[in-house]
Order: sequence, then structure tokens, then C-alpha cells
Amino acid sequence: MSVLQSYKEFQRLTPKFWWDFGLHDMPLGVFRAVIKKQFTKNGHLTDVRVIDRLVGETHQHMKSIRYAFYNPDHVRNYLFAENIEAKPKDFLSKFLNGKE
Amino acid sequence: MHRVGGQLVRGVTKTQQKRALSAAAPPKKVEVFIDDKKVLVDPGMTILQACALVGVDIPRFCYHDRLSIAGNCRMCLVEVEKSVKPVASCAMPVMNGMKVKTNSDFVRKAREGVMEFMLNNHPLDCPICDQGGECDLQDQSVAFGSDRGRLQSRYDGKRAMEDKNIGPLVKTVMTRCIQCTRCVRFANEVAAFPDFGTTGRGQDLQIGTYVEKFFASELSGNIIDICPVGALTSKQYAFTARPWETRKTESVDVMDATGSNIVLSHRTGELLRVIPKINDDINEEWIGDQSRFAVDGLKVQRLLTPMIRGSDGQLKSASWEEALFTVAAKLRETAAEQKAAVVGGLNDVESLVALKDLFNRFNSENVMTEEEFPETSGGSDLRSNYVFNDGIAGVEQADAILLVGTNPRFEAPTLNARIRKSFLYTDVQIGVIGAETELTYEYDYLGASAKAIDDVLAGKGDFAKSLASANTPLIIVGAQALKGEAGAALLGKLQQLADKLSAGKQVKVLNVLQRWAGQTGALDVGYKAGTSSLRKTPIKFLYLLGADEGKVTKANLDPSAFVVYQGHHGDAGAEIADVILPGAAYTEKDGTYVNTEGRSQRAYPAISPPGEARVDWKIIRAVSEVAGKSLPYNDLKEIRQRLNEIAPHLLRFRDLEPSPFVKQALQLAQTSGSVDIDVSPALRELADYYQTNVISRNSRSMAQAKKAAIENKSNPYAEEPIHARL
Repeated sequence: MSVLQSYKEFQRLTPKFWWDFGLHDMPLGVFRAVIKKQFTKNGHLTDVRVIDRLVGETHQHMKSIRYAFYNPDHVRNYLFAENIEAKPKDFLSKFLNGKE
Repeated sequence: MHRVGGQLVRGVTKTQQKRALSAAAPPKKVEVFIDDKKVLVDPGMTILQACALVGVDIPRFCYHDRLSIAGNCRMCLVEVEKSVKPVASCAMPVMNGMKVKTNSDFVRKAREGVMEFMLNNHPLDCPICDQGGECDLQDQSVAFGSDRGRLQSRYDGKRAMEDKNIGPLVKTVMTRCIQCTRCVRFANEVAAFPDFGTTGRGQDLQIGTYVEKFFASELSGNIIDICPVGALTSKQYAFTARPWETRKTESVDVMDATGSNIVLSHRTGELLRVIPKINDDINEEWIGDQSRFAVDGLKVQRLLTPMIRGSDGQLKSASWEEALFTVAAKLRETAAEQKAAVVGGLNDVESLVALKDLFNRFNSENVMTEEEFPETSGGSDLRSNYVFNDGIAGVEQADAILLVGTNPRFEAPTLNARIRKSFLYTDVQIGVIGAETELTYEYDYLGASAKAIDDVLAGKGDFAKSLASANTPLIIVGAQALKGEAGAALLGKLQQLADKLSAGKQVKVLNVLQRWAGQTGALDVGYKAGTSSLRKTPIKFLYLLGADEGKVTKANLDPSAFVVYQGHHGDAGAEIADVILPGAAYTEKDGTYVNTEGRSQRAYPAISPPGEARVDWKIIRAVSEVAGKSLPYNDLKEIRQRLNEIAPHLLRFRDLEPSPFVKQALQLAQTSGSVDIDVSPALRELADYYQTNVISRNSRSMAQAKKAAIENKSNPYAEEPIHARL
């Protein structure tokens, strides 16, 4: 129930979010779908404690968005992992990166 | 001067117990009450040892488990019922019905008094003292001392002593000395350096070498550990760190093949010092000076980046991608029979296994160790041929020891300390075939040639007779004497002798003392011993894994040969290399080492490899992937699993793995004829000891020690060798 509430609240915030953080390179509808995916990717969770935690985090996110504690780069990194290099996965790339 | 007089009153060790049991009925136990707790102890034990049995720790300065008892610090005073005066518990044997109080008012007052006297004569320089934080005096004055003293230094003065110069390794601040004489007893009993002693009495008692001279012993660093105060400290570690700032990592020493247990102190990714870790099966609580001080060589002349030799013949830094690609391309294009790998003596088993697997993937079995060992007549195929079968602790049970072609004093200082221990406390007979060098015990010299074994076999001479009549005879043969055809014949002879001596006994008699920490492990996983097979066919691709002793040169190879060197120091191996892959030293990787007994031990990494250097087995794993034949392990767990597939004993850490098939080894051996080779070991005097491998050759403190040892020879006050004195 609380998930649905926070989801509705987030979607009400989304147009302002989309506009304030300069995300116009995609239509608002697409961005709404991106936000929806952030919720649905946790759809498998059943543990109430974990869900409550995530709802709490969502409220923190919304607060940070409203007060512009985040900046556009944070948002893009978080939602699309744009500026983050992928972590090396196989042995050789880990070796060359000095991670092994 | 303190010399050892007769049999010591010591705690009954396991071996002594065993002997006592076999000789007669078990001795009657004595009943003692410690703080009203009843305990049954062996007669002859001291009160202090009896207290240790019930977990009561008595404060002490002069008492040390492995040294004789002096009883001069008086810190271990306890109250014994019906005794008017407090009793020094370290020196007082238990008696039946004795009632001991270790924490009464009387005892506390006595300890406080002793503490006050000690602090009267001890400087209050803890803030600038290297022992600060690990000082027995500091700890015990907090625990047992008074909060005030009665010394009025304005009137009474404060005792001060001149510092002594005893060489480049140990720093002395004699004012801090509390005259516990642990160092004097250690020097006389363990290190066999009788020049160290005391002069004067009371306030004027001084510890030192009488005249200024070098502390000429391979075990000198241990007096730093046993000194309860800051009088003897490490010159290398001076003013470096406090113990509470450092992290400690348990590791295994690679300077000799005994695999002494050590603790590495490090802080912020920098290695600071090495101290021994107690292991009664291997090093007791001593380590050699090389093990302790050579670590400063790990900061010098290190290989930090991969390098490729350019067309102008100069080595230039390169990236890992370039280096791996170059090596892999050469590895792929060279025919299997033209490839070879040579490994040095400091490698962990993981990297040895990875390298052998890599070469096997390319249809080559041409992997060999730099150190020689006979290939013929059994050779390294049977494990009993190349390990120290009876174990290092087995030396203490021996009643006759024959040393062939080895100088254990410099090849394995802690093993030698054990031989000296048996020499002092049992009537062991020792014979030497090899060089007539200064060992720390008396011995019968049987000649430099292996021919002397024939006489021992025939029972000619006094020593041969005592060896033949011994209950637990022991032969220790140095790995250096065992090389080539003559070495095989020598090994055969010794097997014959061992067979004759071991008839109907529990011991295997024949023990090989390896010189390199990685050698037993390399032979265990199936490396060929010695580089002779490399000279038969022209080699076009040579992979050197830490091979720095210069056994293989460009002259042994095809003129167009491509040489890869993987290791941690720029030395002989890196000099001839076309590509250098920087590896990790023993302090920088998770490694398994098999010591000369065949005991597998695990070392943990203290710091990370410097620069672009990587852990050795991972480099080989990366080469394999670039070359197109990936090895099937990606992390430590998986490669350890691979070790388990090859030889499960490699993962049974700390266990001594016995080696069967001694009889079959004898059948394979060539035993006919006489062997006439000179088996004098290469290390004969102290100056030879300090720099024997690539790490110690780059160590500043080892170079200084070597210089001091050479200069000491021309010191007119230098002690004559023990053997010459007799």
C-alpha cells in the first residue's frame, strides 16, 4: 500500500523532475516509464522490512529532488549509469586493471 | 662468565618424556598447591612452571623458557608457606605439599619493592625508546609497580652506562639494561658466542663483549626479541614505529629451506620489520639474521613495470598488454621442444603449479629448477630422496648425527641451534664430512671427500662405531653435495648407510637439507631438478621464474633465444631477459611453501606488490589466456583446488607429510663403487652467510653485516673457532 502511495507521489513529481533536471532529451512519457521501472525492478521483494526501507529511501530521493540536492549528473548516473565505467568481470580485464 | 654447567633444570619436554617412558616407569608426580588450587606436577619443575600449568602468570624478566635459569631479576618472587623470605619462583624446584601464594599482600609488596629498585636504575626515556609499547618493564611497572619512587636523583644520581658497538644489526642503549642476562645466556647457549658476558658487580655490572667487537653470530638478531627492555633494539627498525600502529601478518620465511614462521609488521603499505613466530616444530622462537634483516632488500632494485627490450638492446617500460602479448606470441610460435622454464628458489607453490600447467598446455615438460639434484637412480621421483625425513624436531632425539656436505649453521641457522641444543643437553656424537668449519658444537671431522662414507659404512673409526650403536642415528646431507652423476652415487651410498643404520628402528636416518625455500615444493609438483636437460637441445624460448643465480646464461641457449624473466628483483635473470614481468615477493602474496621437511605452510600477504607488479601465479594465468590456452583457475581458491588435485598434502598446512618408499629408493639407487668427490659446502664462514639470495644481495643491512664479519676476521680480539680450540 505504502509502495503504491509513494509511486503515485513520485509520478506527480515527475514532470517537475523531468523539467528541472534538464532531461528533455527524452519525452516525458518515456521518462515516466524509466521511473516506473525503478519501482518494478524491486517487484519480487516480499520482505516487509526491505520494502519499508526502500519506501523510506524513495521519500528521501523525492526530497532531494524537490530541494535540488541532486544535480543532473547524479540523476543520469543513477538512472542510466552514463558516466560509470563497467567493472571488469573476467580475469584478464581485472588483471590489466590491477584489480587482481 | 656464564657458561652452561651440566644438565639444566628444565620443563620436561615431550621428547624427554618419551625417553623417560621408554627407559623406566613414569616418574611420580608431586602435589603442589598454588593459590589453594591443587596441581600435580613432575618433580624437578620450578614453581614458575607449575604456576603456568594452572594458568597463573608470574611476572618475570630474567626467566626465559628456552634459556638456562639465572634467577637474578627477583621479579618472580612468590610466597611459600613456612618460608620466611619470598622465594624466586623461577629457580625454586617444587616440593611435595608446597603451598604457594602468588597474589598475597606479601608478594605484592615484594614485587613492588623489586620494581622500585629496577626503576631507580632505569632511565625514564620511554617516549624515545624503541621498546616502548612492547616493553616488559613498562607493562610490569604498570601492573605491579608503585605509583611513586623514593629516588632523589639530585643526591643519589642516576645510573648511566656507555653504549656498546656490537655491529650493524643490533643497537645497544646500555643505560636501559636491567641486567637480566638473557642476552648473555642466549649468546653462550644458543648462538655459541662466548665473547658476550658480564663485567663488574652490583650497580657497576655491565653486559658486553669485554673489548669492542662484532656480535659474530648468525642468530644475533634474536637478542633483540629476548631483551625485556630497550637495551638491545634493532638498528634497522630504530625510531620507525610503535607496535600499536602496526599491523601484523603471519608469514613464512624464504631465506632458507626450514620455512621459519615469521610475523611481518607493516604500516600504511610499508613493511617495517620481521619478528619470529613461535613454532616448536620448526624454528622454536629464533630466526636467522638474514630472515630478520634482509627485508630492506625488498625496497631496492625492484621491478616495477613490465619491460620489453627494444631494437637498441635497451629495456624499456611497457604496458601489461604489450608485455603479455609479446610473451604469448613467442610462446605460441616456438616449437614445444624448444621451450623451457627455469624456476629459482624463492617461489611459492601456486606460481610453480601455474607455470608447469602453462607449459604442459603447450606440450612441453621442460620445466626445471635452478638448484641441482640427481636425476638418475630414483632422483627426485621418490620423495624420501629429497626431504628431511625425520623432521627438524627429530634432531633433538638423535644420539649420533652425521653431517655430509652441509654447513647447517649458515644453511639453516635454526636447525643448527637445535643441533647445538642436543649437543649441550644430551651426549650426541656429531661427525662431519665436508669442510672443517666453525660450527657451534664439537664434532669429529672425517674428511672433505665423500670417500669417508666408505669408512663409516665399514665401521672404521670412533665415530662410525658410535653411529652404528646409536638408537636414533641421523644423517643430514646438504643439497649442494647432491648434483649430477656423482651426487646420485653419493646419495646411493648414503641410502645404503641409512638402510644399515635404520634396521629395526623408527627413524628413516637419511635427511636432505635443501638450501632453497621453494625447492621441495617444486620437486613435489613435478619439476625436473637441475638445468642439465636445457643444454641438450637449443632452446629458443626460456621462461625464468625468479631464477637469479645465473645458472643459465645466454651462452646455454640458441643465439636467437627469447628470454622472459618474471620475478621481483632486477638481478642476473632480468639482465638477460627480453621481456620482464614484475612479480611479487614473499611478503606480497598468498603463498604456499613446502619446507625441507616436506611441511606445507601458508604465507599471507602483508603489503601489495609495488608499482605495476602483480601476484606471480596471476601473471602466468594472464599469459595463458592471451596465448589462447586459458588455465582453469581465476582466484586463489580455485588454484588451491588445483594444488589439491596434484598433491593434497600441499593444502594440509602445518602438517608434516611423511614420505614412504625408502626401501624402493635404495633398490633404485646405484650403490656400487666408491664416490670420491669433495663435498665442502659453499658457505663456510659468517661472511658467506649474509647474502645468499636475490633479496639479501640487495639488502643494505646485510651488506653492512657482511662487511662487519669480514672486518671482524682481522680483529686481534676475535674468538678462535670452537673447533680449533679443542
